[in-house]
Amino acid sequence: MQRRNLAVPVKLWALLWAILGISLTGNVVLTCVLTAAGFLYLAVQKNWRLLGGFALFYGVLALLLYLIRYYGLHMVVFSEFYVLMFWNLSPVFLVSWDLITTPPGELAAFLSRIHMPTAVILGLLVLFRFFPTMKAELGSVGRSMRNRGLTAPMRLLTHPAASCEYVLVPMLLRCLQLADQLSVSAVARGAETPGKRGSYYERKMDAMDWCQLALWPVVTVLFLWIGGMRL
Amino acid sequence: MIRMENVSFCYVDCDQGVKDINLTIHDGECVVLTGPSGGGKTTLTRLLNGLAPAYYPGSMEGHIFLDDTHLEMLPQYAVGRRVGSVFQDPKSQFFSSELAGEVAFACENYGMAREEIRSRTDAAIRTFFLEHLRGRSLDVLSSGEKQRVAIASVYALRPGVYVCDEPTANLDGEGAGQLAGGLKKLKDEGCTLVIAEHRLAWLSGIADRFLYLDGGRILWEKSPAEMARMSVGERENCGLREVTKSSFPMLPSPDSGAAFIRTESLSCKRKSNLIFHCLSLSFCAGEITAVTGRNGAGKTSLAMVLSGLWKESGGSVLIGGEKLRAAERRRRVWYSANDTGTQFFTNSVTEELLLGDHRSQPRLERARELLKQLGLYGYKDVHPATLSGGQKQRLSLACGILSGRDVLIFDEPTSGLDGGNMRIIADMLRGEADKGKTILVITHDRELIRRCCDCMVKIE
Amino acid sequence: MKNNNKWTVRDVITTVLLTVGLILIQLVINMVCMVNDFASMVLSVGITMLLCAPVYFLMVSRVHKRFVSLIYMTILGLVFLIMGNWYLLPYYMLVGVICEAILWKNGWESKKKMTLSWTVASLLYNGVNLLPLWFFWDTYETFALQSGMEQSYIDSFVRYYSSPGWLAFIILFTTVCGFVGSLIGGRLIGKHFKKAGVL
Repeated sequence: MQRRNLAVPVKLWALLWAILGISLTGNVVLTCVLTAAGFLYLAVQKNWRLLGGFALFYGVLALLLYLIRYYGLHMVVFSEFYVLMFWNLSPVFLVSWDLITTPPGELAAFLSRIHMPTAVILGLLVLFRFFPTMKAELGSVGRSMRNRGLTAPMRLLTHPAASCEYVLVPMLLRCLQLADQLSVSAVARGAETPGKRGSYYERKMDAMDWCQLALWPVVTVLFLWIGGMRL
Repeated sequence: MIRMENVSFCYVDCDQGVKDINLTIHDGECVVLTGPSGGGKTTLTRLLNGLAPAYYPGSMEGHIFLDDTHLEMLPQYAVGRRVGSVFQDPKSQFFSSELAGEVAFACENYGMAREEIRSRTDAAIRTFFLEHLRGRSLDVLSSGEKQRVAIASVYALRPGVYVCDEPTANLDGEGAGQLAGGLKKLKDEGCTLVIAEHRLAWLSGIADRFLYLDGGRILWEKSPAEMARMSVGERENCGLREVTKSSFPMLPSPDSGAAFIRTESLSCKRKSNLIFHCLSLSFCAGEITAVTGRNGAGKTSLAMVLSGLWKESGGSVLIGGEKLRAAERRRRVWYSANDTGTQFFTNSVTEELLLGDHRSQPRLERARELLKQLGLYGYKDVHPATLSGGQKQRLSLACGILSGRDVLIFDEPTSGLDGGNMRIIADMLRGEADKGKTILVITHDRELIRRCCDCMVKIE
Repeated sequence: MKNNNKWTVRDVITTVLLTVGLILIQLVINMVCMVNDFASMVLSVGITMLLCAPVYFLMVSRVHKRFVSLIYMTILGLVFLIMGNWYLLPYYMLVGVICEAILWKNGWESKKKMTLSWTVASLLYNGVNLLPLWFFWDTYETFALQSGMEQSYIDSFVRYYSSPGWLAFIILFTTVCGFVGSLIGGRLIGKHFKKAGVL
């Protein structure tokens, strides 16, 4: 199903309140209220994939927390401290993951509306291009290494430094090459034009945006009021 | 109209460049710049689109006029508005992962109003028949589709002049055909095209004039008819590729009785995606087999499985009559990918050849001999990253030969190479086959097939 | 290359791409190390700094301008901000400012200055573990006591950060790792990147 993204300012607003909430709360366990608001926030955007994945993760955290709290579970790996920390940070993870998976075009449109210089917007766009491009490159470096017999376990063990070098150097060289090609392509297409950048996308605030805009402060304030502040 | 008057350009950090260029290009004309690598074709395109000296610093003399305006007086972005550029490798030019965002990119940079951007973008998408690609990630498109997206992005700006720098270097045969269609459309709309290119056959019907550059100078100029009349010998002397599309060479299938490497009902599945199924093929020692087939038919996947880089999901691979597992095949089969950018690991050409093996005297001797044969001896101490595309392909070939493996597989080794480099590679392959190696070449390159292949396998 | 400090499109793109690479390495190491207290509290920062040093060296010498470190540290801080640890943003910006101060006068020309900058950054980098611990410690302690854990068990969790011996070891370890990483970075620059003509 098609995702129905909220406007970028609303997303930032939600992130702000989520951070405020988790930083000020005195009752860590109660953060589930904010997380619930986060799930609602994903649901109205029909971001089911993230919702499903995160619900699973959160379920595991809840189970661990329950076992720690009432059955005195001590874990050998992954300390209880991190369980609590992740539990506490969950609402922020939800909101920010949703933010960074917003189509880059919409983020760029928002930045150009607030008159960000083109260079910053290009930086943002490049950020999102890094992952698909470099993933393919990493794969082909790995393939070349295997083809040349550089991944034999004995070799990896006896020459760990050299093996790191074989991965790092081609990747870095490719990264620089990519940076050059991208910049030539940007410059040739007018990236150095002074003044405000335009955008293909436009997003007007609608009723759902306003609802979410109102919802976050209300939930956060209520949550802090019930749970108490740490200060 | 574009007019270049006594233009010379020299890069800051090296002595390459162009000298004394006098050239007039009329509106609606398609001019092809050709000649050996390093001859100055690319520099000339950069001068036209303003990237030199704005982006690539250097010293320039003479004047370039675009409809009576001094091109060198304009800032780069103003030039970009009137002269659009298309580059070699479409996959590393994209700023967006989806079609509309990428096509709109240039318009956005020029700060156009939203309505304007939308109408231009949508028109460009329609003109290049890309509508069906909306909503798909650009990363999964074929190389020809990617290059068409790149052109559409420039087209949205409606420049009168298009400058293309080796636009087919990373394209397969099918992609070049698609690109030709796109450029034909631009020409029909009255745009001026300047194309720097090695592969010439796909340009027949588009090109009006061929200019031959070497050593930074325009040596001669020929019409398409004159080009077609050039003898094979003349072409080879100039290091040129064939000018008109020749028929696809027909070669026999390999003799399955004498096969050295054989697959038995081999199939390959990646992420529940069936790539090929029940392939039974044979390849003979001492022969060069061309592996051809449409885009996406699974040629590269077949090479991956044969060379043991991927595991087969069914069937088996027999080498010398022995059924071998993937890890065992990796020691017997060499695979050179088409992309040479990530194949080299050390800091000199010599080290690269000797990587991962003992250095005995005979090996060193063999390496030296190979470098001489491939014309790389003068570069034996330089970093592989500084080599040109053709030199990298030759180095990759040398690594394969020196690996001492019985089966060598090359994936499109000649795409983007000039005639001279193509012929060096073809002759090297021939020499290795004559020494008894089994060689597979995945290729669309008719000239390469005609020059060195013995038999052909078509993957459907 | 001329030393004008005007940032071009190429500089921006190079910095962003390499920064993403750096951050990716760090996050992966952090995640992997989290399974074990000792690895995450004592070793992770050192390993990170060791592996990131060549990339940092390349970035600084390639862009060849001021503010590379500051931009890198700011983007890093922003990543932590959206992961909820907002206090790391001002902290990293401060680290960035310190690195900039070290590199201010053509530091990108001198391996010594880059080494110093990265070594100092390594030392300060321990904040990535320490600050969240301080920030969450009260809440964790309350929760842990409620769950019936013994004070000694709780305290043992922070033993690496409370005992002076361990603390000294951590600081020494990360600083040495950063320093060694810098030496490797400097060597790789000479061995590969200068030779490959990208600097």
